[in-house]
Amino acid sequence: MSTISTHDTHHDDHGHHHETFLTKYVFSQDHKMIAKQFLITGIIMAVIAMILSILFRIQLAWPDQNFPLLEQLLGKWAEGGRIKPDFYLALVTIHGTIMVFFVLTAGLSGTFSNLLIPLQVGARDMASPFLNMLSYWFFFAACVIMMSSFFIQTGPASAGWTVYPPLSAVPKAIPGSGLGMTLWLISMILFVASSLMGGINYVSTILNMRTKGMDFWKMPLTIWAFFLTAVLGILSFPVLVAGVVLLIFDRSVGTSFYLSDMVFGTQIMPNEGGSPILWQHLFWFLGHPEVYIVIMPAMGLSSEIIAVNSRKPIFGYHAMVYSLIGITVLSLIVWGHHMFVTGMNPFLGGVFMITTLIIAVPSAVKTFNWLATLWKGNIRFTPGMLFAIGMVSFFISGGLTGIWLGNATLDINLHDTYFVVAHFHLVMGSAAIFGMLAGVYHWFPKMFGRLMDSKLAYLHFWVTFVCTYLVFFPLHFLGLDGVPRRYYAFTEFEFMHKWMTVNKLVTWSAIVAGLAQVAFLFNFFYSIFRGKRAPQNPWESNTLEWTTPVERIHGNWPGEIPTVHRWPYDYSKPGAESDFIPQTVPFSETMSSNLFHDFEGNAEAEQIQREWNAKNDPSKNNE
Amino acid sequence: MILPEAASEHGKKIDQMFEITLILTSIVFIATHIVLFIFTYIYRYNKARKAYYYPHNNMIERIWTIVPALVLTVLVLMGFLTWRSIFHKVEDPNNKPLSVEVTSSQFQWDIRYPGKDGIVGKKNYKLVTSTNNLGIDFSDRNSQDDLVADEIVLPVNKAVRFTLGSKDVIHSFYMPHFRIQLNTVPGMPTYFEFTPTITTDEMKAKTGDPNFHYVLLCSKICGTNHFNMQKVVRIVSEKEYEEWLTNQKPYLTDDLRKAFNLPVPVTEPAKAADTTATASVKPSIENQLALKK
Ligand code: HEM
Ligand SMILES: [Cu+2]
Ligand SMILES: [Cu+2]
Repeated sequence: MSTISTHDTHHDDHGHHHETFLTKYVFSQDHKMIAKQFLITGIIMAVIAMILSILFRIQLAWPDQNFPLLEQLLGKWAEGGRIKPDFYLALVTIHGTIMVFFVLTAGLSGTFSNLLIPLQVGARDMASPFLNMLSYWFFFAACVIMMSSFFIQTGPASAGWTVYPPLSAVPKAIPGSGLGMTLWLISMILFVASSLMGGINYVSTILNMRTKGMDFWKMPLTIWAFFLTAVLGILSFPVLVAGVVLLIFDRSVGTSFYLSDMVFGTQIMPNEGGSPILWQHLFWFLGHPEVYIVIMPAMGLSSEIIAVNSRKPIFGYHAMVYSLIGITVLSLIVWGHHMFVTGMNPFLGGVFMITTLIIAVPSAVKTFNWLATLWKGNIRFTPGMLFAIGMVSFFISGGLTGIWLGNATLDINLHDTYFVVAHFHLVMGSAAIFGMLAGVYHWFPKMFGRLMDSKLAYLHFWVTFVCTYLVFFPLHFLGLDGVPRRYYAFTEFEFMHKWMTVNKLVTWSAIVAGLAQVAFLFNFFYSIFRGKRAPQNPWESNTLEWTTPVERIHGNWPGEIPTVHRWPYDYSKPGAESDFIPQTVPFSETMSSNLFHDFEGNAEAEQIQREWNAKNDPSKNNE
Repeated sequence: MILPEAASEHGKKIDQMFEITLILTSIVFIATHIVLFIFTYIYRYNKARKAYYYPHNNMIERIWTIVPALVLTVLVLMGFLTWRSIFHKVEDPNNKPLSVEVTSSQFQWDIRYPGKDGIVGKKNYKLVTSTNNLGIDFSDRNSQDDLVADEIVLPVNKAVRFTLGSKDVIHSFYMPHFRIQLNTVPGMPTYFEFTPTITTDEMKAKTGDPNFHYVLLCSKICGTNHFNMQKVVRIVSEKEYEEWLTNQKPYLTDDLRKAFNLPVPVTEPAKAADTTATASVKPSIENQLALKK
């Protein structure tokens, strides 16, 4: 608390802080700056992961063609202009790892939890700005270490982002399981440390530092989403560390937690008594919650953006919160659906099928509530809104196939095929990326005080939206036909030859989608410096962050932190003059639009309202 | 349909459920997307209009919680029962399934058929040598007549129980046409029992593809050649199967007999050692034919 109170007393002499470049931009402890650091690092990692995916998509589309350029670019990994199988697997692995952890966990939560939690709950900064700074630098170190594995002799980890042992444990099994895997594991530990420092900060800030009047049921859905995401991360990430540490022991110390009964060629390995399945339990105990850690912030951002731009309250605010809570709790007990066909006891498979299909219910509720929010709205198609609507579309498309995969019986045939690739790219990849982009467009003015160009944004949206479907929708059919994932080429099986044309279409779409991101990158970086100056509340939104000055000062509000009087969703309230009523406006100033419901049983306030109504609009007393 | 035709008994059940799920989810997919696009179109911004303040409706919300819950309950029940019927097979002592063992290693499948005793014998990874690639324990009598096969051949309409194992990393035994997938795990045998219902020849006719054959693929990332780890699977009539079986050689060679201190059959002086090995087991295979039920 001490930092906070100092800020409180010092807020008027902000201009006199002697900040150096280093403390302002590098080792900053200001949540808004840290948010930007996370965002820009996240964007850079996303671009890298996207380029990796285009590289391996080229291999899939033209498996017999040489691209001399590739050799110049990648050297021995693409001798003769063809990506080598081992390197293909390394690309897939690092692509998945970066996307899931660095882009959609750190890049998404790191950016928006940091930016919005203090601003939307009304706090001067995070509970611990110092931990917050460390959180970023651990993340940065994790990124650097992960990328450094491209520059070592044996190449990056190549056992898939799930790094199942024994493949990941025995360097003899694949070159990437040498030093590359060690770097992967170290990077992961740093990453988890970063996530935990961030998560603990988010939770304590939300619990302890809300401004006056901001009770739980007045928090925007973004805050609910960040809060539950952080709780989920705190509960599940440590389990991954435990798993990773055991894997490090197996690799470096000769223990046998995951290993037993192995022979490579004729070399009998000394490990005895371990179980590779144990890793899968530990990994997925995090791994499944992880996909919700990825999607819940995107849900929160989209909920907020959809409400603001529909000029309507989010439909079923309470149901939206309870469904988030339901998802959080249930997501901890469904991990086994990734293991239906591992040979795990079939009874367990049955149990996990039940829990998995139950989690579809809160997800369905959220979707219907978004649709109901649009109903009779007055929709402003801001770039943020378009991406939020796109997020809903992808969440539906990808979520529905979850019902197939969650059904153990159907999963027998679909597991580890391209069907799964299609499913998770839609529901976790595309939906979360769209939620994130929606957030970037919507809160860009809050981050940089300027607006992004909307023409470029529309171009970005339409090309990305269409191409994303073109990339991932066809992959369902490959999976249904029995094409397994993580295949270097479709050349060796006759039945896969018919998919070569589709593969070319997918790759071309991926390339076009990639090019569309140039529009975004240009728009983003250009607007930071040259964008149109933003007004204080460009989207006419109710939440607290838009009551801070455009200049984005340290400590957020120049004077006192505002008090909150109402929930964040009073849009288009009948009787009100304007179509939005910020959370800071007391009910005494909006007598003409107040509802008895607003007073939450406060008899005195109801009495005052009744008297006012009797004088001005008697009909309102009858409700 | 979009799935290749199911060629096993349980596969047909899976496909039924697949179709129900496909229809239900497609309806939801199309309906929600129509709603999504129509709403965004109809309610697009108009200066003159004000949005309708409509924060909640508990009745509607209850409906769209309960209806999906009910539909999912039905799906779960169907899934659960089918799942059980696939993995909990009641053993009928009079009609035992055929046993076949498959061992995966980077990047091949090794197939072992039981000999005349119908039982695939023990193995132990510690016994692996360059001649005893699977580490078969030939001191177990059941192992001594086990047969090598370089493809999987199965009689149609007869239950077969696969015992799956792995020598090095995890692989996955995936035969999409039969709706079978199960990981092979070092140190932990896994089992899958099923009944193929369509022979390869019938499938050729059905698909109109004279080159059609069933495949076994590896579906778990296992290293460099994961994408090319295959085995041809042939489903044939009972008669063809028996014929094929007589041509398969045993794992137990003379060298291995020596290694396991087993009596080496007396060789006819004129013949080379390896042909002898085959000849010496011939009779046992004929015995097995007699035993087949
Ligand atoms: C530029 C857009 C993208 C393209 C073209 C793309 C393409 C692919 C493809 C084709 C695979 C499967 C390769 C194989 O199995 O052989 C793959 C794997 C994967 N992708 Fe993406 N992807 C993209 C974006 C994303 C995003 C946004 C995410 C975030 C969730 C993501 C996460 C993953 C994961 C987790 C894997 C699995 C890696 C593994 O198998 O270990 N991808 N990607
Ligand atoms: Cu999961
Ligand atoms: Cu494999």
